Amino acid sequence: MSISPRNLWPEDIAVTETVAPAAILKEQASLLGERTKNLVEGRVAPSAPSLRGGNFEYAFYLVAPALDNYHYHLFSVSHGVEFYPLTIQPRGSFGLSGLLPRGEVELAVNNEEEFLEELAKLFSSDKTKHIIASLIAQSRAV
Amino acid sequence: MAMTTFLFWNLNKKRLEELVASLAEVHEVDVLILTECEVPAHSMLEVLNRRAGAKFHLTDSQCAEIVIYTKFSPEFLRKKCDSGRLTIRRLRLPGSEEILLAAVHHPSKLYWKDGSQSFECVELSHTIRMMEEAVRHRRTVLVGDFNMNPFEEGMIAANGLNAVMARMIAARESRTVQESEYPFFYNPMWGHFGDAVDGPSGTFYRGSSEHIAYFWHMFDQVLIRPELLGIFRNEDLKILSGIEKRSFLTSRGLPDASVASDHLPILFRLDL
Repeated sequence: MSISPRNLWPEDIAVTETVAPAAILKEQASLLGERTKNLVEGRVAPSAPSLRGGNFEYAFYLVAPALDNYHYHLFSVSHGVEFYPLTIQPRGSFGLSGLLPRGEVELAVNNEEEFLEELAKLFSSDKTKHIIASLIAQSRAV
Repeated sequence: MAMTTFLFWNLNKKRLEELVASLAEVHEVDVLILTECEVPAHSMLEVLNRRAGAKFHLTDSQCAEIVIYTKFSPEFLRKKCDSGRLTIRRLRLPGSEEILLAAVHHPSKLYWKDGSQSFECVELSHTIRMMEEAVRHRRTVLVGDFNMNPFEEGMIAANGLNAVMARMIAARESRTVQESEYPFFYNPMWGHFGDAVDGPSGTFYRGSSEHIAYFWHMFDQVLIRPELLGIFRNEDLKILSGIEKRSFLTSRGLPDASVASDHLPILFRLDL
């Protein structure tokens, strides 16, 4: 006599409206291309498994296809199996832009709303705008 | 094939253009890589090119921390990837095979914990491998102020920079950990530690009254992929302690920040 296995998992286990941070980043990456007529595009690349252990990491690049696919690493994000709290690590001199408290190297956000707010700040910072403007101008000169 | 000479120096935000120009002239430097450089480009170019025959150019980059001047046309050193503290360029001189030249300035131990520096090495390693895949070769040189010693975890970890002390090991090209393959770097700076070799015992000195103190540090390093071992000789790597009659060291033999920088420059040549 065979006993059919009882499935203990709830039926709605796979139903989710949560948006993964990587999906948010990819969406924004694609929208950048629309804004710049694809002279500068966004690219999201998973980072190597790091010593942080168990974290998911993604790097966000500005890419200029006309400049030999030149990449500018704008920032990285990392999170655990649960998406939040999530950390954003602006690269290098972004720390000077006032985005991060003095002495801090990364920014913690607690939910999707905060994540979107911080992304908007990063994208509209003078430094980001300057880099994108420079890449567009150089791409046009090729 | 021709010898190409590279000089890397952390200028400690000082106006050292005269010393830089002297080093460039005496050592016939072709590629000048500077960090913590607050010398305006026009001043640096003026001093570098004061001498007849020298035609240095400033190369273009979005990397705020690293400035590169070349004696050849900047079109031979094309940017491939930048971030705030890293720049990766494609160096292709006429008649030579292309190499990737990466330069980095990692955050100081004054502001970052050892663990954070190691995480940064993982990120750096990943970025370099991604660019190597993009250009389809691994002829890569990585130079910079890592603010880390060659023996620290981020420098030696497989998923960090995987930078080993011996050519023989690096020549194996890669090693596998948990089914993932990681390419080696050769780190020739190991051979310059201590006082059994000519030259300073490191590139940076910091005394301390705590129990653990190394005194000399090798923060400024050049790492070479196995694919380039054939064009690099260890005797072509030097830590410079002065130029002509001017010493960069105090009477006790330590970096003299009142004369030059708190870091010593490193010079290396590749037979490109």
